[in-house]
Amino acid sequence: MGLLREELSREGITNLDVVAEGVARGIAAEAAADPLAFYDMFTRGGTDVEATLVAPSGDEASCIVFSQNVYLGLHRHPTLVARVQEAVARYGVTSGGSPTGGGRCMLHMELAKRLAARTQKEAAVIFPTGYTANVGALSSLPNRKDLIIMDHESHASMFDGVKLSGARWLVFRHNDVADLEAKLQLAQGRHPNVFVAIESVYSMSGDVAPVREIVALKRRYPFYLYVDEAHSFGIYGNQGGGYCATQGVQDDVDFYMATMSKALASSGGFVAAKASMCALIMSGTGAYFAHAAMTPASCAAALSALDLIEQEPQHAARLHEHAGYMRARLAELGFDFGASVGPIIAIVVPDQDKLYELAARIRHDGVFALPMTFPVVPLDRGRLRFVITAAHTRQQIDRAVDALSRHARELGLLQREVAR
Amino acid sequence: MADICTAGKSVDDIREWLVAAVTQRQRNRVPIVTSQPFYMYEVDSVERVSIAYELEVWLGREVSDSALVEYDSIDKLAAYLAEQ
Repeated sequence: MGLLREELSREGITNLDVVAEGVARGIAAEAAADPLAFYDMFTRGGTDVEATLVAPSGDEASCIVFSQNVYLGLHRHPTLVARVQEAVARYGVTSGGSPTGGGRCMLHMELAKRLAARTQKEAAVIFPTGYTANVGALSSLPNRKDLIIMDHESHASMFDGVKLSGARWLVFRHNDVADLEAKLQLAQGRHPNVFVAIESVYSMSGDVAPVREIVALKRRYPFYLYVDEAHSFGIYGNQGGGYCATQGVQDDVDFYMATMSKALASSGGFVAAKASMCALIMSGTGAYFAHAAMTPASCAAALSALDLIEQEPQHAARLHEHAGYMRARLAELGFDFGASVGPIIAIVVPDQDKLYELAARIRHDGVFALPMTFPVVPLDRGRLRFVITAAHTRQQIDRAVDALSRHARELGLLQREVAR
Repeated sequence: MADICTAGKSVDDIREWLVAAVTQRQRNRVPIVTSQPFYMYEVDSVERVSIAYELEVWLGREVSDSALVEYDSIDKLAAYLAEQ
């Protein structure tokens, strides 16, 4: 719908009421064509792996859900649930205010220490969401004269943060180290500070950043490295330390950001860094000091998840087994899932009509995955995005692959079918 | 990328530079028609900011990314910048 708004603007239609009515009509038309088409859909069962999807129209479909990020399936773990119940009984259901207004309790302080230790940094700043963590850090760290160079596929929250900073920014081609180096060369001597901001595992593609090569550039060009590990924290590395830890470059990451709503089965986000940098972030962004603090229940869930990741490594092992199994089956059938390597498997379907058709058909068979289209992904790289979790079963994955195989074949989407 | 240049550039110089900048951003390289708007060539709002920055370094003077919205084709932008 953002594109529709741009189109209206190009046609000279800028009156807010007219624009709002145009966008609302566009959403209604999409909903009428397919009531369960993603925009306003919600689930009846919350984070159940098998849930009933409900449209505002009342239409329903029971599906295996492959769109939620609870990677380790800890969200209903009895130990975690009990710890949350205990926290609610002891601290109440709300934080009661911002971190600087008495909104923190002992759980916040313990969580910040644990996150810093897990990411091998001096300190950590906790935010109410991952989104606000990126917005808060990237808006407060750069000065107006600084430059931020970002991967083109970076999360929307990173773009919103840098825009809010007032600093100059530009993008390099996704995972293209040579293009990043060209941008660093271009910027040399022009800015007091340069930041390079990337994700370690990209949410739209499921591929990983060439972090060793990017870190190697630090030897030739001075820059601060900001890494969003939202899709790797808790599931990669020793005790879930993240993807950079597996590549041995943890110490070269100046700012380590992650969310707690994925592997940690909670909500909230954090940025870990040198203590002085954390102080700079805390004092520099309203996303921290003017925002209601994370609830005690969320802190308790995150703390419990950190314990469980240490004590029960079987959840991460199961997740990777599931992802490997589904990827192997899809590869055998001839699906193109780009360079994705982890639990995000993004099946590339360049034809947008066929992509939506495939999503609707598998949903009809009880399998739900989100289609991603331009401008979220490049024009010719639309994809059907599956997020695998440890809570899925092998049978559920088989059901999804079987449905995909049948409908993709009928739609002429399988590479091997095309080649025959 | 060209070095910082303080000398003036002609419309043709700027047009040529813009064609190269837009071409290198396309995944599916199609011939550029310089009168067509940028959005026809995968130049989204994010790329507009990057092009403005690179253009600024090349021209040696400030270029706002809003210039790529107001002058939304290579021809229009080149003419505007050459007149500055």
